[in-house]
Amino acid sequence: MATIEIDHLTKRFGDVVAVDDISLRIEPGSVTGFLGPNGAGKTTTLRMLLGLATPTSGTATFNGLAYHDLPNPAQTVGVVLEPRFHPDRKAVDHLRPLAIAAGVGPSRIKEVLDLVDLAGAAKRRVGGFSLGMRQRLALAGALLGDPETLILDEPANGLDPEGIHWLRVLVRRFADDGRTVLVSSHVLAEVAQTVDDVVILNRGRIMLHRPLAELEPSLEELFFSITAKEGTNR
Amino acid sequence: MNRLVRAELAKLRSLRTAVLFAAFAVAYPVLALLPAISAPAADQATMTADDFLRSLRGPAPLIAFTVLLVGVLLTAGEHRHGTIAASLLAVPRRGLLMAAKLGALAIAAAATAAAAATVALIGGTLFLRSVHVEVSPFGAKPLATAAAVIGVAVAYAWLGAGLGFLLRDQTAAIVSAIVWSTVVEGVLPVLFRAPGLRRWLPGDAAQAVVNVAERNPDLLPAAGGALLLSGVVLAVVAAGTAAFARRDVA
Repeated sequence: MATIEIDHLTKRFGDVVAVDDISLRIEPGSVTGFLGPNGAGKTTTLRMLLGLATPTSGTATFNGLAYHDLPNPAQTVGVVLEPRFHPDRKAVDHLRPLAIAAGVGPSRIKEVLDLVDLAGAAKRRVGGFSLGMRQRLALAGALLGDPETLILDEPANGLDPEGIHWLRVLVRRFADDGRTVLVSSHVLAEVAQTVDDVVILNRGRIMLHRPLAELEPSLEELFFSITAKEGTNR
Repeated sequence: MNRLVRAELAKLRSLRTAVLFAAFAVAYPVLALLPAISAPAADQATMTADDFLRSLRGPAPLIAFTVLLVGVLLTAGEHRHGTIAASLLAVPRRGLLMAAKLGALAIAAAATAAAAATVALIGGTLFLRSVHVEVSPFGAKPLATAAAVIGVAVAYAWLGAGLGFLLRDQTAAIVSAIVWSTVVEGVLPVLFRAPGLRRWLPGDAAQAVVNVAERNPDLLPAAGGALLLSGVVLAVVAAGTAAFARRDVA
C-alpha cells in the first residue's frame, strides 16, 4: 500500500508563492483531509504530486517514486480532479481508453460504472450529464485500476445527499482495506464526518497536521482561527 | 506502447468529428470526379490515361488537410476539453503520450488515406473505362501515387499533432493551418518576388511527393519534397513535444 510523501515542496508563479516549502507524510489505512480556503494551494499541491505541474523545488512521491515513475499509475493511484470530459463522448467511451492504457479489461468498465451507479447512463453522451453524474464518472475512472491510493479534489461537488453518503462509505471502506485516501475539500462539515487526519493549508503553507480526534476545539473553529489569524498577519 | 496506441485510437473512434472528417476524406475522391463525370461528351472524348493519375493526385491536399485537423483534435482538443489531465494521469510520461498519439495518428491517417486512394483508384478506373480510356488501378504509377498520398497524409496528421501541442488552443491551431496553407504559401512567393520559392514550402513539397509517378518541373523531385516535408514535420513535432513536456497542465 502506498505512502504519500511530500518533501519541501514549493511552487512559484512569478512573484507569487502558491505552495511554500510544505512537507507531509500520509500513511496507508487512513483518510486525510486536505483543507484550506480557496487559493490556499491545495490543488496546486495535488497537481505537483500527480506530475501535472512541475515543482519549483522539492519532491512528491508514492512509496518513494514520483508519479511519472510509477510502473502502472492507474493501479497505484486513482485520481478525481475537476471532472472534465469531452461532451461528445459517451460515458463508456471516456472510460475505454483509460482502461486500455491501464491494462484492465472491458469487464472492469462495467464493474466501475455499476459501482458509481452509472450503468444505466453508460451509453449517454457526457455533455448531457449533471455535475453529480460527472463526479461519479470521474470516480469510475479513478477506480478502474483498483488503486492502492485515492486522491480526490472536492469530490462531493455536485453530489446530492445520497451521493455524498455513498462517497463517504466508499472512502471509509477504501481506507479500512488498508489503502490511502487524500481528500481535498473546503466543506468542513463533510470532511469532519469522513477523515482520520486533518491537514490545513493556508497561503501555501501547512498550518496544522493532526488526527481529527485530537482537535480542540472543533475542526470548524480551529480552521477559522487559523485562516483568520493568517489573514490578519499578512 | 501498443496498448497506449490502442487507447489513443479508442479516443479517436469515439470522436464524432474525427469520424466525420475521415468519412469526408474517403468520400472526397468521388466528389472530385463529379466535374469530369458531368463534363460534355466532347471533353470526355479528349481524356487520356494521364487523367487517371490526376484523379488520384487531385484529392490529396484535401485528404491531407482533413487528417491534419484530426491530428489537431487529438492534441489541442484534449486541452480544449480539459481531458489532457486524465490522459496524463493514465500516461504520465509526456513523451510516451505524444509518441502514442503519433502512432495512433499514423494508423488512422494511413487507413483513411488508403481508403480514399482505393475509392479514387476504383472511381477513376470505372469512369475512364466508361469513356473508353483503358487504365488499370494496379499499374506501378497509380500504386506509387497512392502510396505517396498515404505518406503525405501521415505527415500532415503529425503536423496537426505538433501544431496542436505547440499552440494548445484548438481554434488557433486550425486557423494557423488554414492561414498557412491558403494565405502564407500563396503570398510569400509574391512578397519576395520569388515564384520559385513556392516549391520550397510544405504545400508544394507535399505536391512533389504525390507527383512521384510524373516529374513536374515546377516542383522539387519527389525525394526532395519528401525530405523537405519530413524536415518541416519533424521541426513542428519537436517544438510541440518540447512545449508539451515543459508546460504545466491546468
